[in-house]
Amino acid sequence: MFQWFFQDNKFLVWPLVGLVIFVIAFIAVLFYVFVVLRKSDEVKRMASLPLDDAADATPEAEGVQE
Amino acid sequence: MQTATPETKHIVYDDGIVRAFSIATILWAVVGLLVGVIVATQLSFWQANLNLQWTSFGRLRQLHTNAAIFAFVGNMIFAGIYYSTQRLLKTRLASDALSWIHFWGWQLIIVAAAVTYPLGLTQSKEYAELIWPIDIAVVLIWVVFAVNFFWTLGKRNERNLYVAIWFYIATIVTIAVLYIVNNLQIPTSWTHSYSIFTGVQDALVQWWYGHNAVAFFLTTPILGIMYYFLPKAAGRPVYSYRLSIVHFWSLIFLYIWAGPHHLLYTALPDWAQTMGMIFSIMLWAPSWGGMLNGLLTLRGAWDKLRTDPVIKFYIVAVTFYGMSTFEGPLLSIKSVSALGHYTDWIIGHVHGGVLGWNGFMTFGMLYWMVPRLWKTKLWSVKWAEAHFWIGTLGIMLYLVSMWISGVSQGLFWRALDADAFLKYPDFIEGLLASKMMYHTRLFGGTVYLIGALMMVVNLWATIRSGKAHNVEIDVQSYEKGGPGFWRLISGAPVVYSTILILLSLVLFATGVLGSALAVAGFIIVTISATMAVGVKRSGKGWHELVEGHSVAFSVLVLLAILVGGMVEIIPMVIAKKDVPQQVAYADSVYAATGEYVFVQMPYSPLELEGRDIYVSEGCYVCHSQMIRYFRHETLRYGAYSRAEEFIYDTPFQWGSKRTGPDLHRVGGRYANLWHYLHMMDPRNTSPGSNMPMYPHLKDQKVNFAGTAKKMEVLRTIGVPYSNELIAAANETALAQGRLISDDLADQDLLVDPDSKLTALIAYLQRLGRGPQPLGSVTDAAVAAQGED
Repeated sequence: MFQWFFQDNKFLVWPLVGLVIFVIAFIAVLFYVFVVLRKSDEVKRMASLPLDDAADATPEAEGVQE
Repeated sequence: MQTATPETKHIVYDDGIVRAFSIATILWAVVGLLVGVIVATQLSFWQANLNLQWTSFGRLRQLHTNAAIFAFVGNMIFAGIYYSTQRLLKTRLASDALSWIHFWGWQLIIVAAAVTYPLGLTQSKEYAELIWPIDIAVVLIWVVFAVNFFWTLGKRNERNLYVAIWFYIATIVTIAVLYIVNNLQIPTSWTHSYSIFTGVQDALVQWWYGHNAVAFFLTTPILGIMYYFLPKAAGRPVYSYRLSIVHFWSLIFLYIWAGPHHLLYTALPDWAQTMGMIFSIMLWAPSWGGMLNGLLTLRGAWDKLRTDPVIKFYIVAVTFYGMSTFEGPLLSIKSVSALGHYTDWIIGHVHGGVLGWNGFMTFGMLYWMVPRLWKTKLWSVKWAEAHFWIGTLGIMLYLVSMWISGVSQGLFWRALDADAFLKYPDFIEGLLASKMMYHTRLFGGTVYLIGALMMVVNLWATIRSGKAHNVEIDVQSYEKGGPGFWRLISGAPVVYSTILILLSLVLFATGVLGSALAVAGFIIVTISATMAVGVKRSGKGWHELVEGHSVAFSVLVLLAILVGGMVEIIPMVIAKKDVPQQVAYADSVYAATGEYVFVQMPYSPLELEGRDIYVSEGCYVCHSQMIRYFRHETLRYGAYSRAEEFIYDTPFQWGSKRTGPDLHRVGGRYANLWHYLHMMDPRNTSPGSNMPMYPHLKDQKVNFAGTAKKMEVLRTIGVPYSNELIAAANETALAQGRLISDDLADQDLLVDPDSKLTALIAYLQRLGRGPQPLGSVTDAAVAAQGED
């Protein structure tokens, strides 16, 4: 039955190809992130980038007027 | 390889453009929310449209959604992106001129939308209603934005791209692809066009766009803003940068597939529906990963939640993101969709996302950013606190009322008695039962608007107390010398991924699903890839190289989002040629006799004009034209809708909401007199209805001068109109119009044969049953089919 379905339209395999591509990419990203980057200092530096901007945190800009 | 010596640079950020977009956000927030309250009032009290054609619900609802999405959230996105991008890349925006062209161009587009929708100039494709000249303007301004953004990336003083920038790249690339493909159309005049897609193909492309407009306009840029502004407000880095990488790649890859979940149980092929459902459910994981990443960023700083309204807005916004991304996949499960689709539940779901997630992120960002942009302090934290609680109350009233109303409608429509017939055959009963919830929704929306007005006062007072201020920094530029494109594409991930993808193609293309050779290849390559990546632990990783190479990164994003779209749309477009243009089917009237009498034929000239009036009035916002294959639907509306019945429909008008009943089989169900009375005042035929009156259609004439041109354009996209039929378009239309006007005249009602009302009645009488037996009209159309 599975093969009949795909014989009906040869293009129907493309969604499955896409799914395989996704699974491969997803596993690769997971492996990279949680194994290769496990002890990376670069990750810590990247994570701190938004805070590396003292100009936005001037004391006079904090608080309220009340 | 290009190299340059690091140097110290003095950078003055362009905060003027951020201020402009921030003010525009505040202005359009009020407009978008106000129009929302007006249309909610109309649903509660139909008289609120003032019986003016320009303020009817069908027209204003399009203005509301577009104002909320493209004006309110759109301006917020641009403000947030321009503010954070400069600081994350430590550089000024590349071009002041492009920034201001972007700003004024976008505002002009919004004004054009605000003018055209009330005039009835629309494509009636949800969230893509703009007419073609404005579509071109949108594309041009988006290109200006993209050039400015990528040019800024090119002159940055920070080597790597923070995850917020990734989300911005995904937004720019994907919206460009979606908007252009969904708006491929052929103009018939300066204000009218036809999509090149028809029927099922149009539906799929539209919801591929529609769903991903939510994904890549209302979600990914806001996530980027969350990843920048939430750590800023919390004063600590994002909880897990690693998780943000997984969040990004899995989200953008999965989102693009999910569009078909808007078309469950419709005439869309089942394989596409199932795929949309599966990928929607898979979206749960990355969405909740992102939500948890945002919430846990406050670890150790939850005390700020008590005192800082900005944090309050952010945390509730992220919580609403989690709730909406739980509810979305839930509604994508076929059995849940069967209950919830077309009901107010969907309206509640959408508003949970826009009011809760987008709205509160916007308010939090503005409360944080405006004092800094004008170098002052927030005028009143108490007002901001009050805004937070009032806004939250408004959302909850809105959502709860729509949940109750939606689930009630779903149960009401499907209820069968002991003999398996409809328990509540009168549709209007369900509408009347929802009235109290509609009033509650109106109250909740008004409360939310009041909160937003408090913000306007607060921010206005803040701005008046400060002075426009551009932040200046000294920055050490990084040593340039990119990895080189060849090094990137020859890296292990690319090589092994390519091999695996080729093996996948071999596996399927050969038709030998269990091919031992391909499976063995998979195993060997996977092990080799693991070893190759694992062994090479020194130096920069491949992904770090990609992060430093914005072009390569953008190409990867493009590939990721193209896969899902292509594998869904290409098979559907190719399959179109297999759909027979002439399909014999049994009309419900003749089914009992077993005679197959009608063929699928294009609309007559008058029906075509009537359809364009249906499109122009935005009837699709309340009426569907898609009968699902459930017993309760076929009992209520007639035979279920089939794909071949829509092959000449452009734009498709399946709709997504049933404030009124489905109309696909309304043709022949009522007399012309019924339609006349109904359009004059729907309460004449349907007591309790909240539909607007359309008396102006009786007095307005159809301009048949453009009919032939429309038919010629339709012929270019495959509708079989002959030269003879096109040449005789006016006469044929008037002949059919006279049949209707004569019929009404017999009942002492005078309607011109060329009035818009006559054309609309002709279209409605045609719906779902093929051409009417109208003598010369039918003969001409049959002759046209024969010639082709």
